[in-house]
Amino acid sequence: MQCALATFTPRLTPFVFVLSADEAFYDLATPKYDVIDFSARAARGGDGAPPPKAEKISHAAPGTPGSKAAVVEVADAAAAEAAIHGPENAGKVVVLDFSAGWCKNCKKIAPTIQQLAQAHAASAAVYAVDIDELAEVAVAHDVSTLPRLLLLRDGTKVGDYLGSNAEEIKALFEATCSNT
Amino acid sequence: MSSFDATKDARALHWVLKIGSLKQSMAFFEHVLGLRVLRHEEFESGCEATCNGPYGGAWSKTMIGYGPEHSNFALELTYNYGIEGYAFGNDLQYIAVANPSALVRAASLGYNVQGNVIQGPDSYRYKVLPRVPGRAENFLVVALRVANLARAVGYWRDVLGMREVPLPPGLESHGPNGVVNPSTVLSFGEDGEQAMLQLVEVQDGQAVDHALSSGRIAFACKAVAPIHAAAVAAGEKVLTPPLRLPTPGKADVVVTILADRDNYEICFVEGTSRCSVLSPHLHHA
Repeated sequence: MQCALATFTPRLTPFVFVLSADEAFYDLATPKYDVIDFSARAARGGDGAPPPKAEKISHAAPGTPGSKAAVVEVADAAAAEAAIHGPENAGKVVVLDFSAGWCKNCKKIAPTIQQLAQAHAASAAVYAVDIDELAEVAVAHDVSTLPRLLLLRDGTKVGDYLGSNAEEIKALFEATCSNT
Repeated sequence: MSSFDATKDARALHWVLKIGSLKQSMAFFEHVLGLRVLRHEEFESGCEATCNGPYGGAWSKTMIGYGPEHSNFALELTYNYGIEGYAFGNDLQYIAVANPSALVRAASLGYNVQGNVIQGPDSYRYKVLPRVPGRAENFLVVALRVANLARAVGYWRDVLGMREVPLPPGLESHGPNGVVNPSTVLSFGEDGEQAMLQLVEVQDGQAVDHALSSGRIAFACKAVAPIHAAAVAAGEKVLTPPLRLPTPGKADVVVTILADRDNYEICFVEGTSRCSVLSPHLHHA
């Protein structure tokens, strides 16, 4: 017993409190409350916030920053009318590409449409219509299913395609836009 | 009287309210009733014990109360994403709270106040009563419409083992034309210490209608198996036989869900560990 006492060396490291004084004080002083992240809820369409919007499909020309996009986004119903009937596209095939950010097949064929718009720039003018923003244009053209391509020359329908097969779309462009 | 003592230590935990907007609800509960958020959880899909109602989508659960859940009654606010309102029935009469200043705040914030009853969001009503000296629990009763009082009491008292307690002052219920609605107040535990249940036979000739907004009451108890067995033996409805719910990072929770004779859902949660499960925590997963 004496031996054990003799070999005992006092602990030199200072005793450290696990809790800081502040933490211990507030633990006793107030119950813990939870926090509701209302902005995160609103982003999910919660508590009456509008449902989240799908990210729009990008129609910018790939690899050519600053250049005029081959596919033009239709801004409003009047712009759609002008594109179809206006003098700027007289004699050209006007292609209306109806799409939406949530439509996966629309996203899939977007690069194909982009390439075809560039390749046929002389004979065709390609316009993208986002049906989430331009529901009235979709209704006016009886579009209820996506992806949908409408091809018009001087206001007259010359082609109509529903689907997302790149080869079929290519063939459609060639058949309709080449024979000017 | 009940033939088992499993409910001897039972305690009323919470009442579930289905809500159409957490934002509007919290504005009311925080600023009028003075309740705080004890626990808020967001879920991506429906709950196994249908805690959020018969909905499979994203939902959230917010426990609000006057104090920690292990010693205070709470309200559980269930919000289902995409659902901004429910068809409301006539089942829940009111929730009575002892918090007199709520009336003034409700009136100043533009809520509909009639006498001592405030109409909160989602058409739920709150009866405001004076504080009871010496009573820690600020929730007094959850008042439910029943079709037949004797039949309902026969369930809650004789099958579940709750005790009848004298009607606390201010909880007399009057129907149209001042007719007194017969009612019985029941409680687990010592008289008047817990949040209680008031069964009201409303004299307006209407049947109990839960519509799509039916709530649910939850009790903590020592063991759910004997309660489930008692319900089965009495030929009463069982919605969920004893079910083990895994709670990540904590001891599993065993629950059973019964229905009374007016189809009110009753959830019994087993074990003392429920206290730790229910304790408020700041950082949820």
